[in-house]
Amino acid sequence: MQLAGTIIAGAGARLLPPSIPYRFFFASGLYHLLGWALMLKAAVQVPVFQGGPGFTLAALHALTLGVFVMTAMGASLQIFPVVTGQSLKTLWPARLASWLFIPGVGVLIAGFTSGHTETMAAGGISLSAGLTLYVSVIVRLLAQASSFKVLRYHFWLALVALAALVLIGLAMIFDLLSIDQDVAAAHGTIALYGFMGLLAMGFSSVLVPMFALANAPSQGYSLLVMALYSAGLVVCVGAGLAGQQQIVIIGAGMMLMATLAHVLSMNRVIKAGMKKKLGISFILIRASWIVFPLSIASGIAAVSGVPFEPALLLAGYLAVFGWLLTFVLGVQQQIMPFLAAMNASTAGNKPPRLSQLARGAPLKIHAVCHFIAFVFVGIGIAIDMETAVQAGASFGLIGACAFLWFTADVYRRMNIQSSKNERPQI
Amino acid sequence: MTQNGKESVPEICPVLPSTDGTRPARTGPSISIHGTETHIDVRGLESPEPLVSILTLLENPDVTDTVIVIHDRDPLLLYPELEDRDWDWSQLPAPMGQLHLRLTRTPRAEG
Repeated sequence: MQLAGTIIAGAGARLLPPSIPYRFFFASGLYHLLGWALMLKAAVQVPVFQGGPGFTLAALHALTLGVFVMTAMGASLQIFPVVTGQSLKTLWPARLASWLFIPGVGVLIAGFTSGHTETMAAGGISLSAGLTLYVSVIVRLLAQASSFKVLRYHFWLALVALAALVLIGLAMIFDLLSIDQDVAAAHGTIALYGFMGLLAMGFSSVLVPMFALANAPSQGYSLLVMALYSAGLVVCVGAGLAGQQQIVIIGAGMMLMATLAHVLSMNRVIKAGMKKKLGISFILIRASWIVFPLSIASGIAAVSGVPFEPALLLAGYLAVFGWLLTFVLGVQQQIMPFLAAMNASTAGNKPPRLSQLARGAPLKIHAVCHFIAFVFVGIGIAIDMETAVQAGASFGLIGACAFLWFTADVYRRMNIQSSKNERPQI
Repeated sequence: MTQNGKESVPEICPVLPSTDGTRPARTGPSISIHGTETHIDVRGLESPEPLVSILTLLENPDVTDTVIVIHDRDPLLLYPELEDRDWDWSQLPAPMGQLHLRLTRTPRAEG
């Protein structure tokens, strides 16, 4: 027998030093800011975007790689060891992954803005190397874990999608594939609905019940939804590359059914949850769940030949800005104080409350600006109106500043709480 | 963090090591009453089931004023919820790989 408290000090499983997840969160905040700034710069091109280098593509990758993947990396490096009880044997691969990935995204974006192929290649190689290292770290963790089957299966499939999208992306940069719209659409679909979509669904299965204080949906139900979604995605991408539009619609229909089932199950979790006041973050998360199936339905309408020219671009916009950006920022504002509370806690000390680590004002400013930005840019794309995109991007920029303020404030408060806990007890 | 020139990982994780390196898979909490105490064993449950099980038990009007929690993690998210529900907690001696908590209902101030 031993005294509790000493047990914690001798714990085998680990929390990372906060500098590791937070470097990803700060980088995500900066790329969020850059993404909106590039949208502002690209305002005239955004409503007529059809792919190819330029400020619009740069803005898109600032958000997809710079915010979505960046946040997923920071959060998963810290959350996987905690929830699975497996520890990282060493920290250098996670650190090296950050040194390669974070600047790599910036170099790739610079390449897209300048149209300079060598710069794109340098950025692509650097971030791919960083991602490979990150994946090797997570694979080693998950290979030893036996719990959290739903999260693990989603993650394995997300990794398959990641490999496919990186290979297609590099092949496009190095001109190994003739870049037609079908290949670019496959790359985008795998990135958004494959890699990010599966990660979002997998993380939701653990994080939403945790935040709402409810039991997770049944494992069988979640895995069935995942199987239907993944099969639909394979059909959709395969048929798209083969130029079979009718089959693309069947695949997208399967994804839509799975998405609705996922959203309904998450809604049931929240309704059953013991925590009723879930805060601003869940306004964002719930809004993103409305746009998730809507983006697929819009894609189906666009492929079906609905007589509305920007339909496909709007579907992509809904997926990137309406669903994923809203979802990731909603989850991030829950995760950061949660991880900060764990980092600020030490054996024998009372852990700080989440409300002590998170200030509400920046989140309110961000949420308001984010939704205004989403609506304005959407209108700008729908009616080809540059000023609406500019107005939306300006609101987005203010919101991104507020979110960066929130990130810095959580980090500052965590350090204050940690230093309080380190004081000798009298 | 560097020790003797070598990188090491800080030892402050809320997940406790089990003695044999494995975690038994469980499907629900084990609850038993011992005199004036209710014992709830949530070891081996996937997060957030331990937290939900403990809070569900505490919200049961028939629960005893003292509850002993047998856990395999330090449940950091539980403590603020206990404060909100007027329960106090203290740690008890426990075997390696376990964390035992004594939860006691805090008398509400009258008036």
